[in-house]
Amino acid sequence: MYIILGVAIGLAIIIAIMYNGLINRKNQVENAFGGMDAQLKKRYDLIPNLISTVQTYMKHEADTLTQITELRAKAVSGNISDEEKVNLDNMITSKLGGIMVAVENYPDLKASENFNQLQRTLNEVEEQISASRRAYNATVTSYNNGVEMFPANILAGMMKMEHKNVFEIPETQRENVNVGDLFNQ
Amino acid sequence: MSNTKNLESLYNSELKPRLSELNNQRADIVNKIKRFALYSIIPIIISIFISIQIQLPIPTIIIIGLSVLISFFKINPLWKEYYKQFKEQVIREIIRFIDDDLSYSPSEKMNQSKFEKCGIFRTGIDRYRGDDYVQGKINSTDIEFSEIHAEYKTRTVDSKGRSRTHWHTIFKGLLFSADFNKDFNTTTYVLTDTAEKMFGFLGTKLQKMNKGRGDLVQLENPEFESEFAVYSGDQIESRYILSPSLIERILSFKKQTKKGIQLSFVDSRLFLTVPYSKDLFEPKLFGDIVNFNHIEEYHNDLSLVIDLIETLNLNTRIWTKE
Repeated sequence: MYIILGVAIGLAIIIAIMYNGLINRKNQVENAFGGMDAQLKKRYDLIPNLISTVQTYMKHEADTLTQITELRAKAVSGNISDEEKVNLDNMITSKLGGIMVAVENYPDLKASENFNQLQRTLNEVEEQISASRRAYNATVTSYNNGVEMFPANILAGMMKMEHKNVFEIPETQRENVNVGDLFNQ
Repeated sequence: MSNTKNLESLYNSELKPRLSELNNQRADIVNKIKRFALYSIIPIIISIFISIQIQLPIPTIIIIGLSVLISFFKINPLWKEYYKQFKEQVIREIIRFIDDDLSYSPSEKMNQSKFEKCGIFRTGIDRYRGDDYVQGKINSTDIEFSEIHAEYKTRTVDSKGRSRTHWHTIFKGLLFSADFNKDFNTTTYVLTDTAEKMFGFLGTKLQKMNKGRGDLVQLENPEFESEFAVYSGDQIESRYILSPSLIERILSFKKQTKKGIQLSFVDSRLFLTVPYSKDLFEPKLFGDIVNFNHIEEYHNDLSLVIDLIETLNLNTRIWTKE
């Protein structure tokens, strides 16, 4: 009788630990997504400033600049899903990358102190965004390990916790690194 | 930047004549030591003889003590002069050769407060020594480093009630500090990973429970993860500092040194410790010193840390910190 009771208590404790572990990992993912979101907002704050600085110089890229403004407006409007948020961010990243490469054609702009400062800030924010993405991926990996490994996976199945995808760094993101290199030369 | 060929020409034109002169000083010291040893033999033998006769060890002790004392007072000033000349004429010249803008103070060291601030070693320090302090600016990055030996002591009491002090090394080697190219507020540690190497998956669990230095940061580079354990107060900021390219660079630096290097990032500065068992940048007493290989060794030990700015790309200033 005592043995059965002991086993039951032991099992209950193990289940409680596993349960708390899973909840902990899930919350970490949410927290990391929040961290990433905060970094993205920094970039959104920077965009109007950047556009107003470059548009007097950049006549040929007027369309792209308008597109960026629109995308930004959509992104900060709220009521969009996480997935949309990620997509919008990818589009903005690629368009901004294009603008930064095009800057090479405008020596006046490149030499301007104001733009120089903005570019530094943008580099900084990009670096922070990339850091927060990696932090997010690390928590998702830890979450997925928890959800898929035996025996926690049984409990996770009952809690309807599913595999999450890590953030794939798009091709354009890698190009962004080159912008920094261009700036160096 | 320097290379072997130029170092060789520096050796032939500048260092070789100086080394030959220093080598004479050195040979002189060695000869004096030999002579003192020789002069001491007869009195010591006599004193041993007397000691046996009167069955007291005191005469022998006095004579040995006296000869050691006299030799010390005669030889030590010569050694000190040789030591000083060597540092001034040889080590200073090699540092100047690597980078003209660096300043060198043979007898100074990095402050103890800096060693403590870097936080890589947390044992309380009882004795802190060091020398060969180098400081300066390489482009926009200021650097400083010196040799450091930090120790703590323990006391044991034997069965007869006599207490003895034992000294244990906390760290011996080079302590290096440089201005980092990004600003940050929290502290991040990159430490040698012993737990994961020894216990694998369980080691990682153990590391996670160790909260003394902040949370364990698991980075995406498996090779880096097996060499180092990263702790930080901020998951995102630690990744902002440790960008994928910096991770690669730290790894290749570790391979290059083949030593248990450890790093910390505190107050927008980078700290690095490279352990050495030998004393660095010291002149030899026995054996010929006019030898290019020795000079190359001094040069390599020095340029390893000075070139770190290049290796870790710290002169890239594309972020808000200028």
